[in-house]
Amino acid sequence: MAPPFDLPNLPDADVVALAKEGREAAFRELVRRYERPVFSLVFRLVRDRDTAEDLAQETFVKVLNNIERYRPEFKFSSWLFKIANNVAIDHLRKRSVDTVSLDGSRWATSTDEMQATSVRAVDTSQSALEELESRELGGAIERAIGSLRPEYRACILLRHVEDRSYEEIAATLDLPLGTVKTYIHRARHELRKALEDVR
Amino acid sequence: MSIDRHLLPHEFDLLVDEEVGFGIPPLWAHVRDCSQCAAELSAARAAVEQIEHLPHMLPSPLFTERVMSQVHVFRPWYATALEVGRRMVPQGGPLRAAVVTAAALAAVSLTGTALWAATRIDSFLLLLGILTQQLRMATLEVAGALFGSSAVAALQTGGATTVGIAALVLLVSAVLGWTWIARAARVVRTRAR
Repeated sequence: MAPPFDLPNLPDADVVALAKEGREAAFRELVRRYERPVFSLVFRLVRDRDTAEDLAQETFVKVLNNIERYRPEFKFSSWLFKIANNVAIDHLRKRSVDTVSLDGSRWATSTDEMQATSVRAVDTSQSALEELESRELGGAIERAIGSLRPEYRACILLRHVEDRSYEEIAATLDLPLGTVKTYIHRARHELRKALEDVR
Repeated sequence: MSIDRHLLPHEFDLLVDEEVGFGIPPLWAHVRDCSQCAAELSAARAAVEQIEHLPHMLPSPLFTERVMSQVHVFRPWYATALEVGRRMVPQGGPLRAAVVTAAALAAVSLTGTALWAATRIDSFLLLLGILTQQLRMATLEVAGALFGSSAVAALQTGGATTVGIAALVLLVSAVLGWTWIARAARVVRTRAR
């Protein structure tokens, strides 16, 4: 019989090492640890529960099937968030090609341009699922986050929900440190404005 | 020491992020004296606090199972070998020590034997030569009994080409013989039905 491991109390690096040895329990532990943060990040990026669940699932499948490629010098969670963000952004890009964006023109280069070209849709026939989603993402702060550009959204969520440093965010999102600082500054500014408008 | 102007946007960010460092105390000193900057900082922090209190959301209860159904859990050979090794070594203290000691002794003995054999290579070559000679004699005796002494003498004088041709003829004969016997058996079975 395999020796028992105290998986919940092991650091990520050790759990990943056990997963590399082909232990299914270690794979499950990684999913258990990160299903909520990853799902929350993706849900807040795409703002649709079913899509978020599919994308979060895709993220874990990609990461766990390529666990051999993980390099221990990076944080496992940073790698996971990087894949999750890429998967969500890819989805948003595909969707913006397929449909008319409600967030404004995809060619817009600034927030003002995006707002100027955005479409305001009012849907009077909300399904039960949409009602649930609007409850989950319906708070003023959730709506304010939803109004941000996806790049700003990812940065601000990683900074303040996942408590990541600027350097980690830059590594996770493959962005220069200065760009991350700018995005977070703008996101905070827009969130403040949006929250003041609500009051 | 305080600064005599309102804070710049990036300076508010430094305070919201609770940075520490050489330039930070004058900023805090200014905020303490300036009600406008204090209000600005308070509003910025309020927005950030709201984000920080956002809860993590739960996926559906079957999420893990759906993920795991698509994950290929692969057990590499070295992990299996280690696992087998671990199983063979007892968990108990004294028994474990005995097994490890025995394994270490076996490893040392094998290494010593290999080193000794390497220094006595001439003896091994002599032994190998004797064994080869014995094998050759036995083969010739069997061949003489089967094909006669003149055939053996012809093979010995003919060299490798003659041996090769003889082997080929033997192989072809064996295949033809086997085919003939199999065909005859089939015919007999067909007639019997």
